[in-house]
Amino acid sequence: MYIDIGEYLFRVDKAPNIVINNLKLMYDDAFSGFSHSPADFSVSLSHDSLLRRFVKPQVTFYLGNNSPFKPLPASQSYPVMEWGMNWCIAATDFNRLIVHAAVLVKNNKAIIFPATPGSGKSTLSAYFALSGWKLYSDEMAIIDLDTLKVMPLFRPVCLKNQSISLVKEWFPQSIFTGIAKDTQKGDVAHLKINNFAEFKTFSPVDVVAIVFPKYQKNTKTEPYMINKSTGFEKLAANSFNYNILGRKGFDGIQRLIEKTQQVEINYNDLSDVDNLLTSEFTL
Amino acid sequence: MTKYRIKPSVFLYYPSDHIGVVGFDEDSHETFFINLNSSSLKKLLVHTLFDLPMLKESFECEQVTAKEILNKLLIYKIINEDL
Repeated sequence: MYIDIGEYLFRVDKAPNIVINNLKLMYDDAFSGFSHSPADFSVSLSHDSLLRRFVKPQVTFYLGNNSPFKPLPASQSYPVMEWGMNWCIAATDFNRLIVHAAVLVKNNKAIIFPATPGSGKSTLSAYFALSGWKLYSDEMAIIDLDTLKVMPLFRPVCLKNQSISLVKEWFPQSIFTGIAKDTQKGDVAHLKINNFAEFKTFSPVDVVAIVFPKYQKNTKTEPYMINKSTGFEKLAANSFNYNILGRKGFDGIQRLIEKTQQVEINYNDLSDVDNLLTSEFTL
Repeated sequence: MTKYRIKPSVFLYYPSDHIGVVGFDEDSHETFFINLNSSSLKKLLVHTLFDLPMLKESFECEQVTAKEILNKLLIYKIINEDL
């Protein structure tokens, strides 16, 4: 089976049924038995031994014959597959700048939200994506270093802990996988945003702002412009491959910083952030 | 008078808001962030070789401050002594 996430094509050689069923649910027509082109990554998820199939069952993620992670409990199979797919991209694409960030688009203008601690990135992604924005990624911004455009990825949103019930409450019709309990990130569930037909209408777009959100209880939503060298530092720190890209990465971030605005936002209400960004960047 | 020059492997980014300078050393792949007035540093580094009085003039500062800035540039390995 193949998963077409836009920029990359995965071939799933083997996976437990629960993973296959969740892949069908999350990726609909992007998960199919046929592809016109060769896959970028051949992945599988399997039990390492017969014993581990029955006693405290575990699964291991493989890229080809290599396993980048230790085995994890089988109850976490689906998150392990998603995290493995993230790893494949972050560890092997050295042509584009990859930033640990969410990317949301409105009126063909992208805003990058780097995953700084306390940002509430995935909750924000889910809220915005279910409120009229286009979700280009919940996990990584893929930036072309020649055009500086950000590329769309067809992936679900990974929600954790209280965010799961919060999003279910806000958007009762939303489509979730089951909850994987006690993972390294706590309780985790994946949320489907678009269907593949909608996603195929997305194209690379220009970035207008890099926004560093910070969730704070009982605070008024306030934006603060940050200086460009701080913006550079924070963006580079959140990049998976900046150090590997060398001069190309340095020049790319420099150009990106110059053509965008960098803003910190303290918030406790996502609708305020939506309104603020929409008016600030005339989205 | 000791002369200094920018290391050929170092590339600098002078942000348009003139706050701080970001440097990248292509040899070591290190990135550094320096809290200096970027316009003044840019003015200084148009010269292939410079000395302390030239630095003092570019930054329009006292001798003590000029020495501090010089040390900072040496510590970050942006410049070398011209031997």
